[in-house]
Amino acid sequence: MKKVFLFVFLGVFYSCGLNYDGSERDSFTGKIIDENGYPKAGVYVQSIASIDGSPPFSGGDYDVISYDYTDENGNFKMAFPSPKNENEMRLLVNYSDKYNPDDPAYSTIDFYNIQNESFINYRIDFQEIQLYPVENSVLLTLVLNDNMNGHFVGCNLQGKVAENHFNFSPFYEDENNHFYPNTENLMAPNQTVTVTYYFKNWESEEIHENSIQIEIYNEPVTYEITL
Amino acid sequence: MKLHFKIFVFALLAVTSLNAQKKNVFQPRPELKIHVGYMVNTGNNMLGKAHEPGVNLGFWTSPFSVYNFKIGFGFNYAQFKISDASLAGNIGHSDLFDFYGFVAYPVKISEKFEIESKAGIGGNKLRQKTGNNKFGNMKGTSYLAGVNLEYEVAWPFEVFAGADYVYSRFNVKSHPDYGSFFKNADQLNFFAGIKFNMSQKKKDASEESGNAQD
Repeated sequence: MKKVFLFVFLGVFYSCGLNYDGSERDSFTGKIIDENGYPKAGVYVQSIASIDGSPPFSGGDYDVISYDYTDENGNFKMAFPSPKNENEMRLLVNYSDKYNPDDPAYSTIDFYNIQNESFINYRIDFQEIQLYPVENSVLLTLVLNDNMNGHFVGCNLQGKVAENHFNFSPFYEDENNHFYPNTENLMAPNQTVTVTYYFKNWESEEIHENSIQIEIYNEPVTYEITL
Repeated sequence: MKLHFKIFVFALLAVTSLNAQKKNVFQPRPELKIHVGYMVNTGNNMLGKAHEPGVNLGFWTSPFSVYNFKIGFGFNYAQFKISDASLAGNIGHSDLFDFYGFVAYPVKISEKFEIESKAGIGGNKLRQKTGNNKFGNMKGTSYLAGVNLEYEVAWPFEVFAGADYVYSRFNVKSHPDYGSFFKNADQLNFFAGIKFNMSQKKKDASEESGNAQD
């Protein structure tokens, strides 16, 4: 009986953590620009693979599988062995770690919930990603009201957002696909922000999307969305 | 890699069987070489651009020769620290295992010195690790060519030093923009080691001719 327990224990322990296929090399590419549209050099970007759970016994794991600094043209390029059992991949822009900005004077972007389906020929090209100085940011508060038509799943913001958590695969149906709340957002004044919100009908459980544009001036804004 | 190895083994067996009956064509010539080396990664590829040079250990052995061509096999292990995480991943190091068959041709240049050229083909595996965490393998085919100089210290021991060029072709899938960046590897290995002759020493030519006159 002891041997059985030992094998079960070893089996559970062995199965913990992320697995990779070294014969497949995935890559992230893109370009970071500043508030004026010029290339921004020296920005720290990280690609992350993670599997849910609390390590070590329930299989949770988290790897910064590659990182890069943008070159003089603002370009970054990261290649890494392909993770095989991850729940999600992420691209962190201007984070020193998972939570804190590398350059606090500028905004950060976290592309989360990146799934395998988003890779085309083993690559995702994020194209242009804009950062801006966060010094004079104003607050946008979103109030999302469920009603009998359906309930909110989450939302993505496009614009100059100080700490932008962007769900890369909003329609990915998985129990681990949790949106960041994104209800209180610091952002640059004098801009138009696009809010894309995702909701489910109570009966069908299918995810739908809709978009609105919100004008931001120099004052805090509270915006209410009701389905 | 399997096809190359089968062709190599088939050619080896064919040459051996065709010539085994002929006098002095097939000669048992067991020897073992153990070496340490310094391997430099070159070229526009993942090993060349994202890894530091590394120390390697290995051996090669040839049990016999055919028409004075030594035939045998060898193993090499090398470890390289990763120097660019954006190209190779945020990983501690890469281990390269290489198992190959070879043909070598020795030329005696003096009583104590011998120079030997070598060509081989084999299979290899590049394994990436940080501590005990593994990040997958890349497998491929390696081709090597090299030369080494040997000096007989005292029979059956010799010391040797030389250099090999190793070209590897890995089976890797990646975005077309990377071209053959992950598929190719070019390496130069500078090595030195000890050779152990396991056969009886040949008699000198003068002794042999003297014996013939008797």
